[in-house]
Amino acid sequence: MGEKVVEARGVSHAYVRKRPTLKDVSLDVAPGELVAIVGENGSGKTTLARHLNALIPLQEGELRVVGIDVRDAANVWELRRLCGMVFQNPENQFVSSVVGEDVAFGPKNFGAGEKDARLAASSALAAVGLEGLERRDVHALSGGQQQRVALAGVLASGPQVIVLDEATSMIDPRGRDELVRTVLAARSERGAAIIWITHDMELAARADRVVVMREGEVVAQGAPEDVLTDEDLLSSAGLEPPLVVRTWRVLQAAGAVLGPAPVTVEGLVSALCA
Amino acid sequence: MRVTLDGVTLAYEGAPGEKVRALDAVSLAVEGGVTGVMGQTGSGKSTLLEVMAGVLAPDAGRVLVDGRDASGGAGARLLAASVGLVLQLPERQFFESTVEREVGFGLLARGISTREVRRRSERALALMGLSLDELGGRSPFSLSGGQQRRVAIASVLALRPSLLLLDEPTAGLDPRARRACLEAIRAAAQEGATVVVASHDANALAAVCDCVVALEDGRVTLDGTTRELLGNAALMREHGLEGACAARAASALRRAGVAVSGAPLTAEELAAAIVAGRSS
Amino acid sequence: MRAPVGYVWADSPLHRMGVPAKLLGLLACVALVVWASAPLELLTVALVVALLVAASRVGWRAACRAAWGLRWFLAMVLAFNALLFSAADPLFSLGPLHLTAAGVAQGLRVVVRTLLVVVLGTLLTCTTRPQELVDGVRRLLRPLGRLGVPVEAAALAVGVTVQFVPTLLRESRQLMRAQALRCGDVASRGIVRRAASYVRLLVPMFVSALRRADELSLAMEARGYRLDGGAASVRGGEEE
Repeated sequence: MGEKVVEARGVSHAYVRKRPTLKDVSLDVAPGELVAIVGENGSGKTTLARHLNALIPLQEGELRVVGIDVRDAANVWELRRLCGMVFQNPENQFVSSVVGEDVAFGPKNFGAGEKDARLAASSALAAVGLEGLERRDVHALSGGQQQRVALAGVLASGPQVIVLDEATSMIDPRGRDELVRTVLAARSERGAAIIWITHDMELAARADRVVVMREGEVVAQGAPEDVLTDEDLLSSAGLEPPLVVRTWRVLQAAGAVLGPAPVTVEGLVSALCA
Repeated sequence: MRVTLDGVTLAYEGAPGEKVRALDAVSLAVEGGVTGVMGQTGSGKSTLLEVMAGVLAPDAGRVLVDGRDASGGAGARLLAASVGLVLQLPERQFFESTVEREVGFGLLARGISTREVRRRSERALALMGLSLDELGGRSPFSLSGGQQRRVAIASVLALRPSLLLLDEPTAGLDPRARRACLEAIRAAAQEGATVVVASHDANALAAVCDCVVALEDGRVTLDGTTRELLGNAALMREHGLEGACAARAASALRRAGVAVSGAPLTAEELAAAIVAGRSS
Repeated sequence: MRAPVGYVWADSPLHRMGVPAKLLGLLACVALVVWASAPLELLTVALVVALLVAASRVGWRAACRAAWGLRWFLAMVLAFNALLFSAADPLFSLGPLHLTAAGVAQGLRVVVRTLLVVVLGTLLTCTTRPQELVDGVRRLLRPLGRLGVPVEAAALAVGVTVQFVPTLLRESRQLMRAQALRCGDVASRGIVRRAASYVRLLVPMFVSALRRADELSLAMEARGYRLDGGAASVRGGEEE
């Protein structure tokens, strides 16, 4: 399948009487790809994410998600079924306080019968490691578990693209690690593309591709090894490189190491062991 | 200001008629500097801050402020007059129409002259990297997320609390706002305030704290200097927590057989530890 | 683990009662409260409510907690009515304020009615789990579905509202404590200060409720929710 799951060409957007939040954004995402989008608050990341789900009307440019034009009103629900979103605040995305019912909400909306929706919910909960919690109260779960319930709600509809909008910023490190692990598993098992919007550079370092946004524009995109080691680029976007890169720079300056900077701890370990 | 918690226990109503202990016989003392409070969601961090602020009364145990009992009388008045509490997502407390009024609110309520209020607001905003002249007339609701957080923290800093308590001050902030926030926390401590920061963010705590306590199910399980705890990734992992990023990298390197000395907290320290490990 | 806020674990006729019947009963009681206006009538209704509280086995404390939380508001209502209701036969006058017997009576009537309705509402939440409530609304409205009433949408709305209540309550309590600290007057009492603090609370609570509603509607839309079966309604969207 050579088709892209996201194809954005010259997408621009401005809220009423405000400066543009997106300026001429072009972006391709391949099936199964893990793309991290980084940038300061207000750089347009969230606006871009909402376009992918047709939650905001497209003003200018072309955008196809899973082959569906976001302007194609007749297919907007199919688009939303195939491209799911997990939001920042776990508390504000549940429609039912009962886990199983909440997870079944999506499939039901997309036309599944009561029984099929429940089956889809159960298998999605199993996929996020929460099997058997159908009857539990979502508010009794930890933040990390709540985000996995939200992820299950997305998985239950069988998406090809999953967008996570700062989904780890309000949960503790253990919950974050659980969520990251679950998302990566969903990607390798189901081949879904992941678009991860985050401030966490250590997380971005694990992506296939990093997209840097500044004031509504995509200012750079490429492999983490290229983008996250470019200090000037990152600082112009209000960001800073991962700790591993900063450590490498200090070592380089001291003449202790040679070669390109690694971006992950695993990369640092293998660079120093070599 | 010295705050001492002595066997503080606090419970709330839980499932079938039982009580859940949010804090269980917590004893600790803070005086000057920055103390970090770590722990998973639900471990009692926020409750601990509210007890220290005197807004939640413990079921058992005592809170002492400069040696005086804070549960009533002079101790309680002293605490109320000198504590500043920054809740999680403090920007959600905004109610005034302009940034100037929002930051000055607490000061005006204390009957401080308008001129002094303006001077202090200006200084508090400057500490957070913002300018009163630039933002003073704007609605706090119209600012960006990072600016809102900084205005909210400035509104507490303006009170010049001698005990400053912050709950997850950096959550959701981008790197620039996060840096401003951490610098302001340090600055407040340097001006003599006793600061307590509860956070999940090990790197933020490593950057500002002198010492750290860890809570687990309402009990203090670790209590030590920042380096002893956040610099020791293995120890933190044992307690289900996370060490500073540099310490985690050091621990991964050691597991792979690379000699790394000490307990690094920053990139510079990690690099120095790697160099030192090689030469030894 | 957090309990559903307000629910009191107990076994009583009210806990076991079917939710549709309970909801209808509540409506009937509220109607009684509205109908009653003479002191004797109000007293009778109060007696009925008291009997219900006793039968529910949730305890007087739990049943009156919400009403107690409104004490300052109710005191203000009473004062406004007593002083502003009428200018005829004042017992005492000060500028535009006239304390009248009719005003006091009117104020008391409003306060007692409010208290009774609040206690009835508390009884419902004390004896019904949120999810039972949602199912109850769905079952109660089902016959109306044939008349074109959007039953699912109504049940969903009730469900979403009840699940936000605990969060909003927790938020409001925390806000109140933090705001009091900012004024440096945790211990201060007095009606004027209380009134001012409610205003300082209302703005953030309102903003927060709107933000939650907005985020939730976005999440629901992203998960394919549509009120009608057809036309695409794409939201206007808003600032990140």
